[in-house]
Amino acid sequence: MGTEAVIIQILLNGFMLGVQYALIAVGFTLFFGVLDIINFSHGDVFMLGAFVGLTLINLFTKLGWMGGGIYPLTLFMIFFFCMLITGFLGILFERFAVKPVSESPPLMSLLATLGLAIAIREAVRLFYPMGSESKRFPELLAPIFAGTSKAFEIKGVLLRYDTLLIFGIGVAVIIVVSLYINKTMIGLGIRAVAQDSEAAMMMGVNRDMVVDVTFFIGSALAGLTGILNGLFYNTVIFDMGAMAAVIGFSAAVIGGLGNIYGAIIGGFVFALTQAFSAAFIPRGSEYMDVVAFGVLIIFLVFKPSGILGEKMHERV
Amino acid sequence: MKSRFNLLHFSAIAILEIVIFFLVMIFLNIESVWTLIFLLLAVVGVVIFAKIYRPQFESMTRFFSDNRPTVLGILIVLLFLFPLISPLMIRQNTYWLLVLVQAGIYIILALGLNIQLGSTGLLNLAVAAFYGIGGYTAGLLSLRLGAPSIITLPLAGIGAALFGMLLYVPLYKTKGHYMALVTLAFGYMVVLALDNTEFTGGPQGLMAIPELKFFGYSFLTKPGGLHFYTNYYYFVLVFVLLAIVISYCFYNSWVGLTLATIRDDEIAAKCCGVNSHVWKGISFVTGNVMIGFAGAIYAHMIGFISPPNFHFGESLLIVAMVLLGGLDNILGIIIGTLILSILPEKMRVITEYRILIYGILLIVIPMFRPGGLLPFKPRLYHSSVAEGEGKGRRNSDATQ
Repeated sequence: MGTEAVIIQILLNGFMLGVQYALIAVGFTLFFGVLDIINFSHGDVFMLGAFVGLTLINLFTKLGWMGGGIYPLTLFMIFFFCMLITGFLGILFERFAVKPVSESPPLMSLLATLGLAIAIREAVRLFYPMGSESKRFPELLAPIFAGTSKAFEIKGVLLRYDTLLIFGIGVAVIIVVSLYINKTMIGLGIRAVAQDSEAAMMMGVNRDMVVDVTFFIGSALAGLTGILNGLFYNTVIFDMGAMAAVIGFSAAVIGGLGNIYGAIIGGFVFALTQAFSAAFIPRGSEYMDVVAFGVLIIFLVFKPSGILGEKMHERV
Repeated sequence: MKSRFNLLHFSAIAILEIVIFFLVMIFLNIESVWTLIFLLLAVVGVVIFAKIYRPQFESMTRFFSDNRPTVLGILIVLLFLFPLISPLMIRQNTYWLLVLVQAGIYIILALGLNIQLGSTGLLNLAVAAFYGIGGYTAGLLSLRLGAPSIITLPLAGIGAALFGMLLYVPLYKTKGHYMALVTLAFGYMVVLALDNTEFTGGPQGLMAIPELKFFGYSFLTKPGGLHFYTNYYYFVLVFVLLAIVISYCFYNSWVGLTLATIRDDEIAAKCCGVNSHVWKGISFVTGNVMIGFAGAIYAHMIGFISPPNFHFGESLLIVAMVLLGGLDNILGIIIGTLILSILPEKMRVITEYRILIYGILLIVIPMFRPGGLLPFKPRLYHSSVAEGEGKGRRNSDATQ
C-alpha cells in the first residue's frame, strides 16, 4: 500500500470510531449541561442499547420479519424501538438515581453514577440469558447490499458499503440532534437550563421536563451507538460500557464540557489520535490507548478547559 | 477528665471492648445470610436508639472520648491478640486473617488517598495505578535484581512518589472535572502500559515474587505453629497504626490546616499567602508514598500481581471507602474501609449478586447521607471557637 492508502485507511478507521465516540460524548455534555453532573452510567446505557438491539433482532427473527421486502422496515423498527427503549430507560435512571443525587457534592454524585453503572452492568450479566459471555451481533446491514457489489475501492483501500452506512447513520443523527437543540423550543429550554437553571425556571422553563427530555435524547443516542458499535465489531459484551464511558467522558472534556459541538469534535479528535498512534508508533495497536490518554493529558495542560470550553473565570 | 487513672472506667471499657471483640469473632465465624440481615437490623436499631435517646447516647460517647488513651490501648492489645485467639474460635481462621490483612492494606490506601482527597480536595482516580506502581516496583526489584525487602519497600514508596510528581505537572494546571479526567486517564494509561510491556510480564504479570524477609527472618516461617499470615498481620497492623499516626499528625498540625484552607477555598488561601501549588504537590506526593508502600506489601504477600489487580474498578473501590467513611475523618474512613472490605467477603454466600448489591449501595448511600456515613465536623483547633462555624461550607464543592 502507498502512503496515500495508509492515510486513507487511518482516516477511515478514525472517522468510524469518531462518530461513535461523538455520539456518546454528546450525552455526557448534555447531562453535564442540565444537571451539572458527570453521569458515568452513560457508558452502560450504551451497552444496554446494544443488548436491547440484540433482543429486538432475536424477537423479529422469531416473528420471521428478517427477510424479504419487509426487511428495510424491520431494520428501521430495530433502530427506532431501540432508541425509544433506551431513551425511556435513561429517564428512569435519571428519575430514580441520577437526579436525586445531583444536588449533593460533586464527588458523591460521581460515586452514585458509578454505582448505577455497576448495577446496570451486573444486572445485564446476571439476568440476560448467558449474559456473562460475549455475544455475536448479526450483520444487519449486509443484506441490503446483497445484490450489488459489497465494496468499492479508493487508491487501494477497500470501502465496504455497510461500514459507510454506519458512518452515515451516525452523522445524520448528530446533525438532527444539533438542529433539534439549536432550532426548537425544547432545545432552547435545554440550552437555557444549561446556562442558568434558576434563571430559566423564572422565565417559565419547566426544568423537570427539560431534564427528562435531555436524558431521553442522550440515552437514545447512546442506545443507537450501542447498535452501531455492535454492527461495527460484530460482538457485544456486558462490560463494554466501562471503556465507552471513559472515552466518551474524555471526548466531552477535550471538546469542552457543556458544549455539544465540542463533544463532537472531541470524539473525532480522540478517535483520530488513537488511529494515528496505532499506525505510526511501533507496536502501536497495543499502545494506542496509552498514547491517546497521554495526548489527552498533555492537551489538558495547554488547554485546561477543552477546545470550545468556556474560559473558567473564578469569582471571589 | 485528664489522665488520672480510674480503675472503674478502665474495667468498664475493657469489658465492653472484649465483649464487642468476641461478638465480631462470632460474626466472622457464622456463614449464613441471616447473620448479615440480623447485623444490618442491629445497626439500624442502634442508630434509631441513638436518635431517640440522644442525651444518654452523647454522654456515653463522651465517656469514651474522655478516656481515649484507655480505649485505644485496649483496642490495640486486642488487635495484637487476634491471631492468637482466632484459631480457637474461627473455623476458617487463616482465610479471615488474610481478609483482615487485606483490610489493613486498604486502610493504608484509603488514608493515603484521604490526604489527597479529604484534606486537600485533589480527586485522585488513579489510586490503583499508584498502588500498582508500588507493587510492580517492589516485584521487579526483588525479581530482577534480587533486592532485599528492606530496600524494595521504601523504593516502592519512592517510585510511586516519582510518578506522582510526574503526574502533578498536568494536575496543577487543571481543575475540577478536568483534574479528575487527568488522573482517570493516567490510571488507564498505567494499566494498559503494564499490560503490553514485556519487561513487566505483560498480561500475565509478575509471578513468584519473594516473600518479605528482614534480617534473615522470612515471613513464610510459622511463628509457634500459627499460619504464616500471622507475620503479615502484625507487619500490616504496625504500619496501619503508623499510617493512622501520620494522618493524625498531618490533620492536627498547621500543615493539615493549610491543606484544609486550599480545599475549602483555594483563592482565599492564595490571598492569605498560601503557596497552593507547592502544598497541593506535597499532599499529592505524600499520599502516593503511602499508596505505593501498600502496593509493595501486597505484592510481597500475595506473590503474584497482574494488571487487572490495579484496574479502575479498584480505584473506585478505594475512593468509595473514603467517601463512605467521610472525607477527612480518619475514624470514619477506617470504618468505611472495614465495611467495604469485610462485608463483600461475608456476602460470598450470595456471591453472584454481591457486586450488584454493592452498586446499589453506592447509589443509595449518597442519597441518604450525602456527606458519607460519618460526615466531617468543623475542626477544633485547640479552641472551642470553631464549633458551629462554617458548617455548611465544608461539605460543598470538594472538586471545584
